[in-house]
Amino acid sequence: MRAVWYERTGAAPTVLTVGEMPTPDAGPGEVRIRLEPPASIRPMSAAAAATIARWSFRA
Amino acid sequence: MIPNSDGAGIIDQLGEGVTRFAVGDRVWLFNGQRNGRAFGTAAEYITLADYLVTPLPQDVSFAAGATLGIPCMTAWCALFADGPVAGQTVLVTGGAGAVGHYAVQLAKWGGARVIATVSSQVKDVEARLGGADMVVNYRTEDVVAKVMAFTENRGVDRVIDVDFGGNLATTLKLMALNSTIAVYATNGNRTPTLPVRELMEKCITVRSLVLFALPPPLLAAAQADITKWLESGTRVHNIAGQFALAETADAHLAVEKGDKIGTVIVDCAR
Repeated sequence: MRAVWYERTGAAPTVLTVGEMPTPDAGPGEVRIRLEPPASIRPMSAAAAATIARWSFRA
Repeated sequence: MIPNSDGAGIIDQLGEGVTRFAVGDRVWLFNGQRNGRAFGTAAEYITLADYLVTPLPQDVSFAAGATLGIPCMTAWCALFADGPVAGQTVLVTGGAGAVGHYAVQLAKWGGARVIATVSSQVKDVEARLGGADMVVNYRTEDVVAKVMAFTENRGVDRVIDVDFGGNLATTLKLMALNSTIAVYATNGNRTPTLPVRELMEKCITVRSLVLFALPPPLLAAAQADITKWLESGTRVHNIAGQFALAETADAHLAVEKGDKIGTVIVDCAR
């Protein structure tokens, strides 16, 4: 996986490395989460979906 | 160490014995890089104990989910660890901050009258958007006079305090009898002198906390209540800035600069 890490402390731009590391496996009692892009399309609420369904029906 | 402790995403793999979640569930998390865990959320994936993970309601975006984490959990615990706030007056210092803004919204939802202090006109608007009944600019206004007038000289029942030491002289003048100061930060003065006799005479409780040391049952109560709160209305999640994963250093500099309103988020897929 792609990750950002540091191996010593200091100012962020001087110590943070961007690179690849092995994707971890979930241990007992753990879950693995794929961190999702914040700009992803906002999922539609049930109310909004129902409204759009009504519009489609009228059309 | 992979930095950053909060995040949101989709469950991708279950470890042995996990029954609370299914692959594909939308979730938010807190305390990722905490309590001895080296690997936080500045990565495409994180593995984490399931009790630190909470279902994310369908109509709450991943961006909003990523801002919840430690700020929202801290706000809930500071507010409700000592019982309900219905009918009480709550003062949130720094009412536009990451924790403070959630504290304002949660206190309103919990049935309190809410006063927020802020340091600028922009933050005044933010605190009002969160639902504050009165907002005081502590740089230009007399906080004690305004709070005492608002409470008809009774004072406030709870303070959710971002700077216990720095605010103490002011705070003591506006506390009601049998009130509580909940402290989650004290950067203005880390070693304040405590006038204990003054605290005693008003029967004031000082509740101090850091999220990672609170007991698991309290954290579970917080997660359950935050879910109810998310599901029962439209909430404000302030995003101060967004950076690609490779720009994590810039994201940290944006936080260190100290003038942000809300939470800086990192897009881990970019």
